[in-house]
Amino acid sequence: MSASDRETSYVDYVTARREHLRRVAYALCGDWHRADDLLQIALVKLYVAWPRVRRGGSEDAYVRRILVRASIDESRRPWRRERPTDTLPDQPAAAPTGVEDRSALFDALQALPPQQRAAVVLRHWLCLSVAEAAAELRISEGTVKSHTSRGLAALRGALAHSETG
Amino acid sequence: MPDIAEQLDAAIGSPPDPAPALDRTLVAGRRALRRRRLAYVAGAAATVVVVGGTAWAAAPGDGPHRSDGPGFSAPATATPTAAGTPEQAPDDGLPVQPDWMGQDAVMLGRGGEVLVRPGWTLTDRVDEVNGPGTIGLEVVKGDRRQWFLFGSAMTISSLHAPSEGYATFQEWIDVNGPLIEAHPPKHHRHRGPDGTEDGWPGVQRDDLVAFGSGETLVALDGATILEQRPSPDVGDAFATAADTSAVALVRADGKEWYVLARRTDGPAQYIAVPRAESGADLDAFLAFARDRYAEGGGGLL
Repeated sequence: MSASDRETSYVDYVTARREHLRRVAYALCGDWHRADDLLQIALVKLYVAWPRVRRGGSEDAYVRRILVRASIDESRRPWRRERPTDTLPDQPAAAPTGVEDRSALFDALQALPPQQRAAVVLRHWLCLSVAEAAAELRISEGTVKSHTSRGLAALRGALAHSETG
Repeated sequence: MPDIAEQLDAAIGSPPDPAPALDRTLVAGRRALRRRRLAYVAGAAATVVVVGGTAWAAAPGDGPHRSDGPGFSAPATATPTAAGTPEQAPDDGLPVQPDWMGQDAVMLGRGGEVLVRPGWTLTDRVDEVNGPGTIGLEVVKGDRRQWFLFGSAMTISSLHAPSEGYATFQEWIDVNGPLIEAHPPKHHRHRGPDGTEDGWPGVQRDDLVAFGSGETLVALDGATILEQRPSPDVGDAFATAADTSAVALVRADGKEWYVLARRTDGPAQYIAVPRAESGADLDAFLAFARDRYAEGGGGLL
């Protein structure tokens, strides 16, 4: 693969898939700004590994794996969940999605433990098989099943509560 | 009633604003790729040329084509092949100063040493953030502050620190550090047949194995094949699915070698790499070889 081919094919892929991948990142972390940061990290890694990843035909899976890992790593750090609110970003922030605009389902999704949330996103939004989700999360198929079972139960409970409330 | 996938899709919604410009990603990607290559290139015999070539590769307006070509990883030539002009180091015994044009405020030198751009001050450093060779750095110039993480395959930087909710350098390191990978084994320390560091561990060897039937290798006199596989899939830069290729672990003269073999349009080529320098087993060696060829070809030789 020549250098120009490499860059052209990379740009083509990212241009075509970036909006989808932003949504994946957002589903995993619940914050659009952080989603863009996670995706930037993932796309830089993808750039470095592009010829190999492209040859394998698993571009989306590669990016998802990095997004999942990065989002889970981040969520394991308590201070991150208590980010200071008086720290201003360098650039004007886009209008954040207000709590009132976020659905009960999305809030319930974000309330799930990170790995459980990732399992639900991969299995029940992106419709990956149990085996595919297990491979991307690097956990057993049994663990995927238990995560998604518990996760879905929590989501259904939240929805039921929302409808009756 | 919509199924859960449809409900989740609606709940996740669409981004509130356009995606950040792709240029930023490409710049970061090229920089990460250069650093990855430099990690391998560092320590090669033509050290002066490496530093000059690095500055050349990172010059403003640099497209990916300059450093992505198969020839980039070979440090033995001082002759530029593109429009850029690599700086020739003065032969005065003084350390070679990098060309900072187009570079960040800090970068790693060929030996992994920290190089700080003139005007900037290194104010904090965290070694081994996530394994050997990974470094976190804070640099300051006036009221500007930047944070950097260097690893083997990528660099993460926060160009306007503190920002994005990270109150301190240590917090930023804590979150982003796990994303940085340690440096791989230093294959570039291999010494070539003439005793000099030749940069890459592979050598052309026609005396170990030869293609037999199809993609089967047969041992030549004095060699023993311990393990072999057809079509190792090292990458199209090495051999496509239409080519004939194989890999083998071979013992000869009391030493073990991995041999990558390919036959494309011309005569077969056999690239031998000492086992001691290229992975404990065939899988590890193939992973290394895939990385090398994925970086633009040229690979082991």
